[in-house]
Amino acid sequence: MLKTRLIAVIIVRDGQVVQSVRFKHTNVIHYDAFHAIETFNRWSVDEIVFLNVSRTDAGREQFREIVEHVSKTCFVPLSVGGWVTSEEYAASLLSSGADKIVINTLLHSDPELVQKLVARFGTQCMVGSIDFTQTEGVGPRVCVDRGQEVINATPVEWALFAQELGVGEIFLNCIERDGARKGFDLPVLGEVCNAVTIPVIAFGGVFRWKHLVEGVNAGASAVAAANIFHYTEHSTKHAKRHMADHGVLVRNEGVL
Amino acid sequence: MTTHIYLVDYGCGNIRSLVNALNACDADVTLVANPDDLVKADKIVLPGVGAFGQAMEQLRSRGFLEALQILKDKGTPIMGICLGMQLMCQSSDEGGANEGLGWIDAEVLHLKKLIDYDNREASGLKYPHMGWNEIRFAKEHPLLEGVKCGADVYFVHSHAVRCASSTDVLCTTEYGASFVSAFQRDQIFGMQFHPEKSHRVGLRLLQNFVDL
Repeated sequence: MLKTRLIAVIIVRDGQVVQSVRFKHTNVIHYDAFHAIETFNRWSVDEIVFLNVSRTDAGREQFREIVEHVSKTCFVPLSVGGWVTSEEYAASLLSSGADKIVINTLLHSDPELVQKLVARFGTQCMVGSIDFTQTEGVGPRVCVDRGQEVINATPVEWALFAQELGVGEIFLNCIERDGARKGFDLPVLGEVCNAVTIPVIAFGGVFRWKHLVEGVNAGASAVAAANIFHYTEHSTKHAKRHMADHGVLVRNEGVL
Repeated sequence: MTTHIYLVDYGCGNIRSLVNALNACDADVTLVANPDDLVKADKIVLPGVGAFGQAMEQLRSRGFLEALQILKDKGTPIMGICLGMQLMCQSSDEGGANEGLGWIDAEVLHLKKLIDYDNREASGLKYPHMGWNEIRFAKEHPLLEGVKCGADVYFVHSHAVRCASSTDVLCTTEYGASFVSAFQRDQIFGMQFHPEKSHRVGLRLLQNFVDL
């Protein structure tokens, strides 16, 4: 049987691991991204998503260098993304040791390039990241450019569009839930999971381990968290223990 | 003695992870873009992601088909990983009918086609089959030494192998249906999952291949 994946998300800005709260990245958690990945690999987390929120070109190259460095000792799947705007940069991340490329704004700004990346690297290599915002009276709407631009699409419509472009997976995040400690936006998560035939990763808002179980019950193929995994020793192992104790089928390794 | 593993580099996706993992197994890894260089290999790894037809075309146009056949006939151990495993079969239905290397009497089908008609639980399954799943051993082999039957390994694929001869089947995995997750015949090996991304279990399997 296929196991439900627990994914550790690491957000870096200028090489440092930062906390994410409503898409603001003010607090540095770790000074060393390498150490964070090494730790999660040692704890046998099922997968790692590594996102770059640096705002400079130098930050992009530095991010690629970190990927190259960490991939030498990371033996679980490593998805990377942030400012992937060209085929060359995507290729350079992959040849630096990334296993999958996470794209978000590109789905909006250049869907043709997304198709090109799918054709060149394969469906299994492309993760479509979708951020959405909840506005009263309007309902959920998709945002791009790190949550700065709201576009006229619902998360379900956007997920179907991404699937049609050929991405192999959806990474779904609600901006209001990011760092809000209230768990996932379960209704939207459930709708998106029902709508697409590709796996959906739920992200954003996990503060209690029960939030992970709620995401699985809503239909997610994988559940992800960032901030919370950095605070305690063996956090991902505790999380998997909780999931296993509540009827979620998880991989045997990395369970406390 | 260091084992020289030659990794067939035919422009088919990302192989950095595989190089990193083989390096961690203390193998001496060489990327080979020129088929003539393959002859010096102790062992060969044939990686692959993406589409079956394109991959075969790449192997053909770069002149790898003959070189690989010569090494296979010589008895050089060759390991196909993911699409690399599928290429070793007779044919695949991915994107129409495609002919493979034909080393293993097997066909490659979309996972949905392997599901029994009466299996209702399979109706909600997501494709690609992505994530950690168990391998069950169908026979004993040194390649599996130190690994437990039922160990979890990392998969990402939509098509899977069906062997004509059960003696070739090394491991099976369940996803809506049972499919061949690893095979072995003589010195030909295939793994549908990604050992390079399967943490300790995967590294052990690669180590076993290096040590064969």
